[in-house]
Amino acid sequence: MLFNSIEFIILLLVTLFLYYLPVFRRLQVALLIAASFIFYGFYQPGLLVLLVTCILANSLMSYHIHQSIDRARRKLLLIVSVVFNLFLLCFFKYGAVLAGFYLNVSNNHNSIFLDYLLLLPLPIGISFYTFEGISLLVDVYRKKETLSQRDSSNLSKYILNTSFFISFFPHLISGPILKAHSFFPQIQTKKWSNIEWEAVLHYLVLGFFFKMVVADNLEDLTNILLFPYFNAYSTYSLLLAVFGFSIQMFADFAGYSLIAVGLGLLLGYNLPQNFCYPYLATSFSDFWHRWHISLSSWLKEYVYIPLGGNRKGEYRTFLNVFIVMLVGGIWHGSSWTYAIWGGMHGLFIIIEKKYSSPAQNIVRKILGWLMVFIVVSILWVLFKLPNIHHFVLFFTALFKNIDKPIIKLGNQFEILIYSFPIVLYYLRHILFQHSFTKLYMHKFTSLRPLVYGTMIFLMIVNSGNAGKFIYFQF
Amino acid sequence: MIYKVAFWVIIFFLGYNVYLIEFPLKNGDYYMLQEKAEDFVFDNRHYDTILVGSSLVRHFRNIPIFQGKQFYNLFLNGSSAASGIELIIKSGKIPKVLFVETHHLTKGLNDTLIKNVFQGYSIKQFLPALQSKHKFLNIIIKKIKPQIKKLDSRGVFFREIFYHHIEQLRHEYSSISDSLKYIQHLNKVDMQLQYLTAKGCTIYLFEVPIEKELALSKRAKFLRFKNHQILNNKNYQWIPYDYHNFYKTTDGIHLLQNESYIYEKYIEWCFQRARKKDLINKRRATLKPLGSDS
Repeated sequence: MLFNSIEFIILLLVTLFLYYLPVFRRLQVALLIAASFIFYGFYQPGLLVLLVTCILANSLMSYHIHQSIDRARRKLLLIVSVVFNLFLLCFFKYGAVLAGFYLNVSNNHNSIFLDYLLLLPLPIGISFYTFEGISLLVDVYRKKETLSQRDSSNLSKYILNTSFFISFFPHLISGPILKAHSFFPQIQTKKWSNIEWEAVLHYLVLGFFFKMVVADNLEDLTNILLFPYFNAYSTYSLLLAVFGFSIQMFADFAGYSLIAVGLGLLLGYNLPQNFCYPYLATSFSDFWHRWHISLSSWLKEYVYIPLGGNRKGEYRTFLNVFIVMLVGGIWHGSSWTYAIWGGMHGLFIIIEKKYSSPAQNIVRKILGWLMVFIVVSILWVLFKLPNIHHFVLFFTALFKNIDKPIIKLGNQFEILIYSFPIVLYYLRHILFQHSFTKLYMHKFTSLRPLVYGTMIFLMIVNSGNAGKFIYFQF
Repeated sequence: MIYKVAFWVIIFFLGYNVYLIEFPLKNGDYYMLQEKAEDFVFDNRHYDTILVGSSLVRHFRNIPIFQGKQFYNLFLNGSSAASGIELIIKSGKIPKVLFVETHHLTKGLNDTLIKNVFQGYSIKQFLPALQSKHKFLNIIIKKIKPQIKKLDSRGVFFREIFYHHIEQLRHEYSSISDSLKYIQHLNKVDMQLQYLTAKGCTIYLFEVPIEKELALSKRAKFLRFKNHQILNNKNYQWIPYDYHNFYKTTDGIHLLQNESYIYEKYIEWCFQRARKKDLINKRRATLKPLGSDS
């Protein structure tokens, strides 16, 4: 189900009504699991089989890890269950690519199994819920606070809670990726009177506005980046389209995350913030502390640190960084472009760590910001062109078309108009950060109802073609 | 807070609707599918002649039958005439004469488009702000942005794209695929057209000429054969494919503007001839045969 669909609004209203009814208070978790399953399996009920299998396997394995005293047995269980999650992820996400690769290399075209692999659909959200399963297993193994003592002996309650942790619908399909140790303590009875309505309104309005008005309208406008269309446009138009796509990526994904946080609050749960003004980053490391924070911190906690982090010397640190970024890239999809995208980011972070000191003065900060923004935005094009050859051609066109006249028919003006709200969003943040402008900005807080009103109005009368969120494919 | 927000939303929304009712937008040359479809469905007007088809007929407006207030060019970019016909049937705006361009019938009916256009039909009629052609920011952009004068100036810049497009089409037209699906689509179109003829609409079917190489390809020949085989009701008039002239296109299938004019002239000639023939047949039918009284 899409957050911006009628079906979802009906599901949410019914769930909310039942959820906060005093008679159902003891069934709140079960109710949310049922709603999450409807949310996930609404269009393709068959996908529920995989989700339920994943949930049950992770619940039972983590329960046994939790109950077991023998250290070697705990470790073995952990390895088996992590491998199980990775197998599920790889089988569904990379199976088709590997089968295609094998078919190209060998001349075996009669294998039914390979044909089956090639036609395998990608189950939506699999990258997110398998990572959450791994988080649960590792947290239980590390004896982090995942279970309260009262629940640890009750298997059925444990399965219920883990099912809830993995399937909770606001984050199920596109994150934020939750960590078991920060979510489990929140599982308790919720009351209607505790809802922070202003925060809910803020997150939902902002999230839906980013997605429906900014990202969905930019979707068609940035199609000049596709092959072979980019060949026809001037460097100026292409750079503007790259800027537009960069804004679209942010608006789409940050929009989803904001909606998820808002829905979480509506149901009494604090989900982690996934974005912190990433396009204000002045270095690549800074960017990854601001973009898709839940994935970055997941990779840091469950990959980078176990690999040794920065404790094993400079070069080992660089290698660990590169591996983590590569894993992050491959996690996004089975195309080589994602691996290149991750690898390039890793490479830039390493260069930065090796040769650059943290920027102190304002000029260096501005130059750093400009460089990071340009590089990050150009690398996003790999998400629009999942073919390396096309990306190389795009890059060539970017330099070759410098003397091409600007086509007045183009969508440059529209791209600027639809990107403007995001620019304002960042500008507001910058102005609130400085003491002088902060005082001045506070005078405008009374205008918030008017601003939210305008945003909702635009959502009603100016939404783009309702499309899937870009991160659904990951 | 929530009440204040709701207040502003209601004020803006009602104000915008009142503005649109008081100052309705003129029919425009909309490029986006839903905008174009809604432009036709919700404009509260009836048309005597409608042309349905894909982007191939986008610039058909040069001959008298494709001009005037009683004519509507319901071209739908990237969709087939089947979607246009469905819009006509569902909106009840059945014309006296319907021209059907058959090129993209392989694409079948665009169900999503039809669903989106007719979802909340009566609300959209009552509150025009909900129609996608009335996107608030797009209207402002159109007012500010300098108007585009000549479309053909793009040709020079898009040469490379067209080259890739022709290559792609060559590959596509080299084989016949999904023939069963295509027959299903055609049967559905036949049903739609039968419904329209039963309502008194005269149907003219035609295939826009494309690059000769593609027009004579295996796939094009197969599609042409199937079109004539399935859409062979005696009430439909087929405008024959123009093999006698060579038409130049931008990308293999879209006619250049001046070529489009020549082809429209051809349609006009065929149309007038068919009407004359029709009139003669009707007169013959009213005349009593010799000796019938005895």
